[in-house]
Amino acid sequence: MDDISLKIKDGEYFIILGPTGAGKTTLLKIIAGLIKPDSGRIFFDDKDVTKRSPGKRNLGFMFENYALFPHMSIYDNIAYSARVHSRSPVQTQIIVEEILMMTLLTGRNEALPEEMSGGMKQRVALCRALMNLEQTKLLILDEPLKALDAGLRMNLRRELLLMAKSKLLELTVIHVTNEEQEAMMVADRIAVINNGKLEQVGTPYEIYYKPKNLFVANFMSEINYFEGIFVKNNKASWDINTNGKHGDKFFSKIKKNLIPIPIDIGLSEVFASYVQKSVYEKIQNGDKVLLVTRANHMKIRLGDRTKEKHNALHGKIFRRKFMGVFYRFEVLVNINGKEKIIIVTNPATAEIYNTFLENLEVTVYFPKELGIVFKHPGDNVIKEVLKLE
Amino acid sequence: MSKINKKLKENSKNEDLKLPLNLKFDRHFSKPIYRKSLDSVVILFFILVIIGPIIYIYLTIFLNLPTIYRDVFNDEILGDLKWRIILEALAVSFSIAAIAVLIDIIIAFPTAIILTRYNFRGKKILDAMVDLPMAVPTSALGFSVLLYWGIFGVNPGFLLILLGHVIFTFPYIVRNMKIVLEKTDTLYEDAARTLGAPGFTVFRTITLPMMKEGIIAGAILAFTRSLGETGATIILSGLVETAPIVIVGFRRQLELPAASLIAGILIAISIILLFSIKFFTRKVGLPIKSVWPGFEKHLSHKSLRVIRDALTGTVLLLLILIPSFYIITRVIGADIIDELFLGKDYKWAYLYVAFMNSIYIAILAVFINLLVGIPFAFIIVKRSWGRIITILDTILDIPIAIPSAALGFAIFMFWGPAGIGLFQPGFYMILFVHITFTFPYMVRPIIGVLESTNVGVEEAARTLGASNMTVFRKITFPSIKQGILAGCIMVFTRSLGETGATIVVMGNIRTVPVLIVDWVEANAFASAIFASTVVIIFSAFLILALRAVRTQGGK
Repeated sequence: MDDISLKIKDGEYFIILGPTGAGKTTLLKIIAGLIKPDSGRIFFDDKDVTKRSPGKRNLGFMFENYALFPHMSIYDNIAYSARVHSRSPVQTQIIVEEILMMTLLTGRNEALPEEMSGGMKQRVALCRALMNLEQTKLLILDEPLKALDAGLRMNLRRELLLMAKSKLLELTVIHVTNEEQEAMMVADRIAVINNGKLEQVGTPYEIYYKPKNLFVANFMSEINYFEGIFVKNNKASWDINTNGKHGDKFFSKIKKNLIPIPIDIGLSEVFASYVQKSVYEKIQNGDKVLLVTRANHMKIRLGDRTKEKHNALHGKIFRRKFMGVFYRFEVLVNINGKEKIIIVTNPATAEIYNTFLENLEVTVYFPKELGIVFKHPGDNVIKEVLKLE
Repeated sequence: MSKINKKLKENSKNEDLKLPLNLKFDRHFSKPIYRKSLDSVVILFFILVIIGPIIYIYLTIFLNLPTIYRDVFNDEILGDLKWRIILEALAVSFSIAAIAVLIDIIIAFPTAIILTRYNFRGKKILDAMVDLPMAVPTSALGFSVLLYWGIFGVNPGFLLILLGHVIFTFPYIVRNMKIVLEKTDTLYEDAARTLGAPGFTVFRTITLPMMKEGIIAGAILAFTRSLGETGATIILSGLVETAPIVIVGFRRQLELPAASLIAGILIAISIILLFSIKFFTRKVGLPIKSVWPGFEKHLSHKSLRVIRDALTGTVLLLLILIPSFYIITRVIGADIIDELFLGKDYKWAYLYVAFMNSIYIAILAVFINLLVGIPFAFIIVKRSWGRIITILDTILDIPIAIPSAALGFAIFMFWGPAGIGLFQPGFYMILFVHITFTFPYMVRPIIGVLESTNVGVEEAARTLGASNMTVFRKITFPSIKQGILAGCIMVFTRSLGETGATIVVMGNIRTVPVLIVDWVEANAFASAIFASTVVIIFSAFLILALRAVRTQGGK
């Protein structure tokens, strides 16, 4: 865990996203007081709680695999917090009964956790955590949907979101996951964590379209990358300032705070892409840069169309896979004498099925608004992030 | 086509011939007939050696009921004196076992928590010291306790027996608690803490209920060990008699009917205790629903925890650790050279012979248990015989649970002159008894590792064409080596330390623990101190070896 600073607003649904072993659970345990940080401090509503014991923080913590007490019935599990705080037994009973009714668990008061299905356990664990909330309405969820199967997971994501945003509860939620889909669906803001370091914090939109580095870009979806050189004086072969055909609202939103630059990736035609101001300030003419595009932002056309399309590469379809929602193409192209595979994913339509067959010659290209430019991080980083051998 | 087929056949035949010799052996011995005959031999051994004597002792009691009645309840001169002796001895044994276990549990709780949840310097040494009394011969331990409490003027009798029993049963309880504590995830405790429970409440409502089974299993093991202990008890008892001592006494006076009766009673009680473990662990409930926040918050206070830890350390030191090793400090002042080496009765020669006897018996017991124990563990883990396996699995623990003096006596009756007549009391009968009561100590660890080994690896080897025997030799055996080694060391230490079972069947032969008892009774203290110190140091090495094996296995 290294130098992480996060501010979470009241009522926010905050996602901590990262691969297994990134230090997400450790971060949660520090927030809950289960692990003492070597340095650094934690504030709830501007009050320093770093030294407060976990029992006095009054937050709801739902553990990975739920950690339901195996020797207690689900009623006793849910009522545990109330009993420990010696709240009125009668009131506790009323509340617990009501909660059991709301979560469709009525009549199973005396069931032991082991007798219940994954979904039921998840609900009990959630109820138990909610029972502990007082003024600070902070709910911490450690991979709450991990142990469930796909269909159930979809439903419970929606339920979690509904519950968190309900006017009745007004919860602040910190939710840890390693699935970008889950993060995108529920988050107000996302913090991406890797190797105990904070990579980026932002809205799902920012994380997806304006990733700060290669790791964040790659974590959200499949990408292609090109190593190139920033060539300030070498004019791009097409006018970099025009809006092109796609000059609609969507692109103008993306282009905000971005600067268009030409990038020479070793083809006869110079590529162009928008770059964030912060990156632009750091690079100089002749610097090595990394140009990244998402596989689903790539377009594919038959034949050699490099003359008419910009940011275009010519090659042939090496492999085509049907993935259900989309087709995934691996296109073999030639850049400066080196062969390279470009991944293109396109919605599965009849046209694609009929037209784009393996071994056909195609052109793949992407709009400059959807290129992402980083300062070249070094070959080792690329290998490590993209898990190349 | 037929030509090609023929060639292929010839080729495969040739390939068979080309197999190296050891693989050919493997193939041959992988035939089901060998497996089946090995299984039958092992089961037969198990039944004869472990169940046979126990059944036989009840048979003799049943067949000789009139004799027993006349002898024990209605003697012409003594009346029912022997029955009253038996009853009183049972009462003494039970109260000592119960009180000792209770004291152990109270000390063991904080000890186990300190040893698992804390990190401090010297933790490993403390851990080994706590384990050590389990490996040291109880007669040496008992003698050390006698000398230690002698400083404070505690004379042999009920109290001293109790103080001795607290020591050698303690490791059984701490170890079981530690195993459960290490297994239970701190996740549950964390969950309770985030829900607002103070430390003591977490312990009472979460940790304790989850440790329940381990505590009860350890308590019953310690209880039966205390019930059956002989070596230390003889030294510490003075005029008080416990049940095993009464057995030894009756056996010495050749009062076989009375000895059979009390042995039978002890065995029955131990077996009932063994079988009740599962029942009790399920039924015993703890008050986890009610919570006394204020009171328990006070108990959870840091200062109280410090006091608790300090108190535990002190009690542990004064009641268990120092008494165990006190004897080593007495070596310096003792008159060892005069008494042991220069005496006219050549005590050193007796010690040498007894030491060699102990070692020979222990090594042979290890060897024979190894031969039978590995296939037996395989039967328990790998065969799918349904209920038979469950029964074998339960019976396997009987020799651990029943008092060794009673078991020794049952074996003496079954195999000795009064029964089949195959053995006379002496070296081989001692060996036989030792094989019997150490058998589970060999099999349990092997079962443990066998159950945790990855079956997938064996299956992979089999799909690659290895025969069953090759799979065992190349894949299974290397992965269970740790368990086998642990079992060997356990058997060795248990055999080395046994007194009760040996006394009953030894004839003129002496092992070191018995020799220590003899010398203490004959007031040859210097020699006894020397012998005890030697075996304590020897056992310490064995325990360290066992831990080395365990930690390697852990990696």
